[in-house]
Amino acid sequence: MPKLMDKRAEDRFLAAYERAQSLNGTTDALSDLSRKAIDRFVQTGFPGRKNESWKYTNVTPVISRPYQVAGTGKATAKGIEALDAYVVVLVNGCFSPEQSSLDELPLGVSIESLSAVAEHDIVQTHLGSYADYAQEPFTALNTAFVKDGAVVTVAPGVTLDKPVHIIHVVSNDQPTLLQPRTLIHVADGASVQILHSTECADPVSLLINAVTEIRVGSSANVDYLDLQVGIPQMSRVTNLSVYQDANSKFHSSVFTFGGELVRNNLSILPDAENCESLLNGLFVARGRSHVDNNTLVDHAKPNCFSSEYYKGILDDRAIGVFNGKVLVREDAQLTNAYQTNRSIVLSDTARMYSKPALEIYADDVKCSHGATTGQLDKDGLFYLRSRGIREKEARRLMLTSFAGEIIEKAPIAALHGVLYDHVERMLR
Amino acid sequence: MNTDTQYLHEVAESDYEHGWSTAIASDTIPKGLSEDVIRLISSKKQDPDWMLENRLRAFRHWEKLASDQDKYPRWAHLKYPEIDFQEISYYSAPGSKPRYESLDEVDPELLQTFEALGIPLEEQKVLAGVAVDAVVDSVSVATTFKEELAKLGIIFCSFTEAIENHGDLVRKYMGSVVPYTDNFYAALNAAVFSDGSFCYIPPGVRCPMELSTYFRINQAGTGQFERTLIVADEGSYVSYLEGCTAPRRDENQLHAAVVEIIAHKDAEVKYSTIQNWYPGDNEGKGGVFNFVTKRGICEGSGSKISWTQLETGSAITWKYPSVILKGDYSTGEFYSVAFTKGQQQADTGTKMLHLGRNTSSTIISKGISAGRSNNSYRGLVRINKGAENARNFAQCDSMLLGDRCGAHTFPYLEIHNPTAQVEHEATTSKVGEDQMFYCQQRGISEQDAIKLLVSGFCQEILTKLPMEFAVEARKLLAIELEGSVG
Repeated sequence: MPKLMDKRAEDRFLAAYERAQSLNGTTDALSDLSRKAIDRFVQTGFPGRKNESWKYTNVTPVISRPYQVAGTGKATAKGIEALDAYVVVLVNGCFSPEQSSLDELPLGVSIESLSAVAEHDIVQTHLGSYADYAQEPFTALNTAFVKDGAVVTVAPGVTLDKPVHIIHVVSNDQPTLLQPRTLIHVADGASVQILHSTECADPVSLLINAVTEIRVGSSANVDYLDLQVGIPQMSRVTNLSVYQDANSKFHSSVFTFGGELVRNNLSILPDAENCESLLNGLFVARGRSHVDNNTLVDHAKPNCFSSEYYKGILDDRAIGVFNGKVLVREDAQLTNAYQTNRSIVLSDTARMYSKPALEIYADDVKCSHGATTGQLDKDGLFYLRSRGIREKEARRLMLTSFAGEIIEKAPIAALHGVLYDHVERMLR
Repeated sequence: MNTDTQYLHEVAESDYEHGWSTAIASDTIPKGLSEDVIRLISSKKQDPDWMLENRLRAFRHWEKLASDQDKYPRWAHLKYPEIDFQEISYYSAPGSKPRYESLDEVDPELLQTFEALGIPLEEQKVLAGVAVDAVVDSVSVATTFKEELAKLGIIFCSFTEAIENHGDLVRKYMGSVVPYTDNFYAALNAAVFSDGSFCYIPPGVRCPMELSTYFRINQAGTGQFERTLIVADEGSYVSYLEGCTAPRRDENQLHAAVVEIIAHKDAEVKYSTIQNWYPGDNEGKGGVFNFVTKRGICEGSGSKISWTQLETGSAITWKYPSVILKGDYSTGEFYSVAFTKGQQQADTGTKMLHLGRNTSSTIISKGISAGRSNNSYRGLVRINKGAENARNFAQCDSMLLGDRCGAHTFPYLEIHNPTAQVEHEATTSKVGEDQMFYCQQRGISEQDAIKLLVSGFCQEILTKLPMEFAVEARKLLAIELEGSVG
């Protein structure tokens, strides 16, 4: 009776919600949204395999565990040494001002705790309006439990000199559910680079269900990097929803290195003319890791450009999924949209599922997609070996350069070295 | 640009050329589906007991599926009203006589029907060397060239005859590629199918002519449920053609066929289709609902199955000709042109399932949408764990002729073996303005230029069709584009 099983999982989450409500409640200003979201979640339940966009990813084992909702904890963020950035640290989802370097922020930029600014216009107007909790059960769950998080606002015309690094630190001694929430509002003509990363010290079962909403104002420019370094006990569902105004540029890079079950939902809505959206992704998975990248570019208005490039390397018993959709709506004429997915499968037991889809309702468009899956190029290997490079080294070289294509596209150059290190560590 | 749009508008709204029906006395059973209906069909077909049992087993399975709303396949990118399966008559045979010995006995009006479609039986017999097994509604009315084929040991006959004379072969292979449990419509077909074609090529025989069947749906409110079974024994070769046109009707006609192909060691089967059923009028009223399950299995090593299709008709097309590449070194091919206009909806593609070692498959699909139509490619490539060195190449191009139509691509690539090389490419665009300009400044009219460019877009596929078919296909495509009677 799988139905009964599912029901139990959802009921447990509902019970946790009720408990949290009676204990400390959500911030008043968000309780309405929270209530609507939990109602919706109870209605939809967790997505099953029959759901087309969850066809290859089964969440049942992950959601069936008895998680504790992350409470207050103490932990210190390590950060990334090579990177000079404005650091924001959240411990177990709660804003930690003492570890953040907010004093240095230039004029026009503010990073605040969601609970502190929940009543402000920006939060009231934008929170929950891009990440659709009606469609996505995990987003509904996150929205229902929303309490704290980071709110980044950039005033019109401001260009940040350094990237903003948002670090989530998790400290847990028992299975934990962590639901980070981030709202990034970049006003017209502003420009910012944002890096998101998670640090997890203790190898205890952990489910992260993150929601990030980004509003890119007209002529604004946002580079967004998500660095996901997983441990085998960690599962994560990441929902990134982006709204783009006219003439804006948005560039996302999602790097996934392992994790038990990883699902990245990325949806971009260029809702005005002349938008540019770049989506890059790299995942390296081994062991029993399952990595699913699910993207949607929803071209609603004419004259926009989008380009998507995802690469994956799979070893051992890992499973990779790429589920990308480009939707061009009826009036979005002169859209140019490209989508590519390349994967390398290294072992007999690893699997790759690729589903790049185009759904097009306008005629004057140029859209294409391509997908390839295979093993390392034999001729390339032979070439290197004929030059006296040992096979192991030759394979490492080729895989690194395969991954390098995505790494080099990442907009924060200081991170390239770090990313290469992660790839090499995964391939060792 | 204005005239361009206007022309495309005309194209998209053009009427169905083959829209008339032949007044032939026909034997139709009342609407509805129940166990009694299955028994009635079975008794009309004079089925042996095992066949009746097969039908009943399939019917019980279908009943189970039909009783559960969740079991009905809804994943396709198609919108249509619920089908009331009790509102359909499941058996219709033209004329009171169940069978004909020669062409002379065939109803003259029926022969005229073929004539009007441009497929005179006699002429084809003489000129093209094509043996035609004509299926009007559900009973085979004429089978030609049978004797010549018989000399080579080739069996080419209606399904009914096959059950009667070659029961052991039918029993062995029927349902081995598409079992009744496969999907909703396969179950329905297995329960109610009335006739179809059966073809067996003995070992080492190369069939000297193209085998073909013309299907027509003739009776209002009668679904056509035929079954085709092709068995190519070791080292044999056969090219099979299937072409369809149907007269205009206001009710939606349901069509749920099953085609099964078995290719043994080193055998090759080439299956070509032209589908031009009534697509419904411009408001989307009427038209054929086409839910077809076509699948072949490359059973032995070195075998090859190739599907080529030109889909221009039907209100709803739900069709995925597939190949199971079981034998080592086997090859699967899928070449398709799908043209939709008006309110037509097509969700078509293929499945290539690689099981054996060193198997390869090629998919080339061209979709053209006009009017308010929606045209989707949906294709699965699956490389199983044991399929060492599998190779797949897929290319899906879509062309949009109008700003209110849709072209969609939904590929599914499932790779379970590291030695696989799988490639998929897709593009979507409209007719190139510079190409149009080039043609027009050379004095080619706008209409001709569009025809030329669309024909060029499809060239790759049309050349895969057998010669006679390629001519017809080109003509059909031109007529579809032109809109007026050609």
